[in-house]
Amino acid sequence: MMPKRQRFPIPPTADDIAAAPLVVKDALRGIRRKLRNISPEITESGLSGQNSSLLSPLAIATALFNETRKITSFGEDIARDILFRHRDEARLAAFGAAGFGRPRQKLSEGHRHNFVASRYAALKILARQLGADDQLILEQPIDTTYLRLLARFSDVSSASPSQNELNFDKIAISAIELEKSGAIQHPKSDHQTPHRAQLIFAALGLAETILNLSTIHTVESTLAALNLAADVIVLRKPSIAAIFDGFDPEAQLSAEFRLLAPPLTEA
Amino acid sequence: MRLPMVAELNGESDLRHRIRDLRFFEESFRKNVQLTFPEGATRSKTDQARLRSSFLAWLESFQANRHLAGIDRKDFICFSAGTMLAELFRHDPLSVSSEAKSGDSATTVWPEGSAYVSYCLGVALTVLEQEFNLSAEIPEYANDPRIWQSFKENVQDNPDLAIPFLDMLLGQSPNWNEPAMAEKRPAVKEKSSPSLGN
Repeated sequence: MMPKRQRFPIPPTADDIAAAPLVVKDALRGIRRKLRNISPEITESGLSGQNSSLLSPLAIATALFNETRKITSFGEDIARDILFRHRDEARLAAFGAAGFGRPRQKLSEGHRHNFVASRYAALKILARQLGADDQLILEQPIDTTYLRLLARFSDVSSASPSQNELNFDKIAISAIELEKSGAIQHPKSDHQTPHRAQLIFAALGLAETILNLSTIHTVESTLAALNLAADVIVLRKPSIAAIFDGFDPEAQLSAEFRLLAPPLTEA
Repeated sequence: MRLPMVAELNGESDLRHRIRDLRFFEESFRKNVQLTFPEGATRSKTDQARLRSSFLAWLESFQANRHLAGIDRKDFICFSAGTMLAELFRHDPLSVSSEAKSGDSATTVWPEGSAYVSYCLGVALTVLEQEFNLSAEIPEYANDPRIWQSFKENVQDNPDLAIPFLDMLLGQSPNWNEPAMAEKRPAVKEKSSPSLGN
């Protein structure tokens, strides 16, 4: 009997369709990272000085692989440095306004895109600043978190008494939900407390709070806020560890942002 | 003792709020160091992470105690300047390569300590002047090297003793026993306890 033809599963919701490109991008990021980490048994130095006619097929394949990887990563680095810098800067410009800290009349699909793209760009900067540049950062979990936050805040925002005030709680909740989302995987070998991903997300929330308190919203001010937030969060490691291990991390992180952000905000 | 930053701090309107801004704190602290140790006489280095740590620790203490400002505002200004001084001693961000050859007695005995004191004293005096139109006189013993020697030894044992030391220089009643306890300060206790006479 002929087997039934497999049909491609239809995404159940419009949100899943919107998230599909992010899933593909994240999968490619994972593959690229695995390629970078592959270390063939025969090194380049092991081949030098040998006559190519004496090389085994495996050695030739390895040499070819190494050369190809060198060229592609070189090209990729140039492309990233030159072409993608402007894209990342454009994404960062939306960082301060694309969160949930300030109340908004209606959240558009553009808000969702800005939230995901700007947080992804900001996380890359923070990871670099906090010594985790090799950390894989994924966009799709950020998108999933956005939808979860949207649902969680839908009833809260209408009941909020102070419509125009900055909501520190929502920024703290966003940071903690993002940390839990797996957008940055916590490597099992990282036994530090707080672990690096926690520091990165605490810095992300602090930078968002600083920008929301400020009247200056440029790429430069966003970069400055991210850098300052990363520096300060490192100095607050014991507090951050206590917050993430504590009874009510959301309330405690909110209090931390309330304490730290005003003195760090440019007048 | 010299207070090189007072004139500059006085130019800042609303210093009591400005000082709670990390960037302003860093900038004014560095400026005070520059003025205390003019180039050529000594070489100094400020560790930014330590300086920021002292600010953040001070900020935490400030927020925890600010409700006491309502009891005695003037005393709270002195206490806040004292806790800032204590945190500077605790984190010790400044290092001076050699002792100043031609400084005042405080700078000669303890260059780093005198820079911390001159900064916090300068801030306290300026805020008191801006808020209460008060101009406090620095007592004569502030120039006595023995006082600085004793202060150095005490603060190395317990940085919180910087709080009553600064109180003395500002003419405020010190609390040597529990210096970091804002509620136990003589001025606070006096104003918050119910009057026995009534």
